[in-house]
Amino acid sequence: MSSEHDTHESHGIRGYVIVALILAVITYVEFAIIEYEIAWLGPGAILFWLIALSLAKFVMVIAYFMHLKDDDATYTGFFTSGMVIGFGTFVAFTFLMTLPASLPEIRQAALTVSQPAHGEAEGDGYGGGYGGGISEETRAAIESDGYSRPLSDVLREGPPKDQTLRVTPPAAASDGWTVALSTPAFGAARAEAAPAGDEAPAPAEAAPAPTDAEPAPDEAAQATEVASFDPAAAEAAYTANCASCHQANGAGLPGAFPPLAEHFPTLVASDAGRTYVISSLLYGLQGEIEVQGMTYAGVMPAWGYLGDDVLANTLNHAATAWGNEALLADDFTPFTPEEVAAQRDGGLTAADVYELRNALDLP
Amino acid sequence: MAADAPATAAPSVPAHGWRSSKLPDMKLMMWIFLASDIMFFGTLIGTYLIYKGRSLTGPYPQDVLDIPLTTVSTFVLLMSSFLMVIALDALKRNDIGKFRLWTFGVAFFGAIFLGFQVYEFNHFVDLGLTLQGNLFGTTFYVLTGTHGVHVAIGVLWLLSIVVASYVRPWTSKDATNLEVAGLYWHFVDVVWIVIFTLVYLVDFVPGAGG
Repeated sequence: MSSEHDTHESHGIRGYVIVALILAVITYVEFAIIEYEIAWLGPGAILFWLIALSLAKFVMVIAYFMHLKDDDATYTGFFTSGMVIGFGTFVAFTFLMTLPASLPEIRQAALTVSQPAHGEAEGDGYGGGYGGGISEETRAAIESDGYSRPLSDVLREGPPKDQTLRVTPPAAASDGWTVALSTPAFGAARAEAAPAGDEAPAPAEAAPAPTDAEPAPDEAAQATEVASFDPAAAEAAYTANCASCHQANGAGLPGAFPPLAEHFPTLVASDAGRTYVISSLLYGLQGEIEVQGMTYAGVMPAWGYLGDDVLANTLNHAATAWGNEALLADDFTPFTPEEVAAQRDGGLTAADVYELRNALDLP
Repeated sequence: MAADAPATAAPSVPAHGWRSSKLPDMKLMMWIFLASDIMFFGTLIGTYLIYKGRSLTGPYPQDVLDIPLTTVSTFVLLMSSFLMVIALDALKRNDIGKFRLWTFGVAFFGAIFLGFQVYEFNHFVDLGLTLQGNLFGTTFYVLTGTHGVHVAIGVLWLLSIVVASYVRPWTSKDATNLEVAGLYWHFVDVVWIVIFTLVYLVDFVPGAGG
């Protein structure tokens, strides 16, 4: 057949019939493998044969029915490049999506690294999301965090118990990166920092710089009223994990992600409500809910892989930010990592959390 | 771009036009389109596979997918591809009656496939699988729905060819027109071959646990 010179000459009906018969038989074999549960082949072997058989069909249709076998090589070139690019995209995409999930320690450590608050992001711009973007500067700063440990150890072990590792980008080009270990119980950030330059940091410099969104007076007021967590660390935890859906201003996205502003305080008014919000973080939430007159069919993923301190911080930020603090009950106490840890043995599913929500009749 | 325009209008261009390729334009364009379309489907299939097994709630693939039913619809689509090459063969031999019959047959088989898909989607929604309900629903409907739209476009294209062949009788000189439609149709078939395996069959491999 390959000796045909005229590309317009057909293979003849007979060739097509044979190809069609082979395609039909392969389809039946694929069906039979699944339908009759061929158990003497292992799952791996079955998977291999299913993919190999479909590949055979793929190639036969393209080569014979689409005449690519005897047609001009230009067509093959175009189609093959499309397949290669398509498959390459798939491989790259899979890599990006699965790598962080398979390295939870690195992801968790990287999530506590704040995004640069100004201008262009350093590194590869993936800093807050998926842990790939620790810049050389940050790396150097962490490596000199006062513990003289290599970065790999810091990332593997995470911050010391009850403390949050905070890396603050330089506020001005001349400043260095700041690494601070904050202890929630004391509120104040303890500076362990090393600037990129030669000068040692002044104590004031080591404290996290207030961002544009949160004026300094507010922050100070919060720190005195609710002294048992670090508002800056809480905001960082919220920004890194929650803000992409619930938004930095807590307003959510109508119809997609429910608001936390003016809503969260009503959830945590009772102890049962506190248990519910912790459970929804640990186990996720699946089901239709109604918040402030709007229906949400969305899905809250489970965040149990984050540390207790990070989760407590996100809850405290949601409880106190955006004017929520004024709506809290008088006897409200901030969430503690211990309170979060106590719910970890619940073993709930996202659907269980939904039932819990309905049972409590939460707003 | 702008520099090319005066060049093509220059008097030195031969009367039959300036061509960089001896290949038929329509056919070349179709292959380039298919190359782009396979990237499109590659992304959709990739998305489906990446989110596979990550649905928080059911229905899960094993709860809804019906292998015998989909095998039949897969078979129908494969055989429509066979009719497509027979139709092209007939047109090249100037057998206009057979050409019309088989081309209509392809469109008819495509419509049967679509019927299966409409039934399947309805049935799945009844079982609780919706576009917004879980990740499986989202990725499944977007992928198979996009494929279904391709089939529907193909059916309309082939029917328009049958109609056109009555308006102005087609001869073997029109074979490229049919061939290009055929390339599109076979491509849609080829994509389904991949979807049938990766979306349907793989979920039922014994012992693999989805």
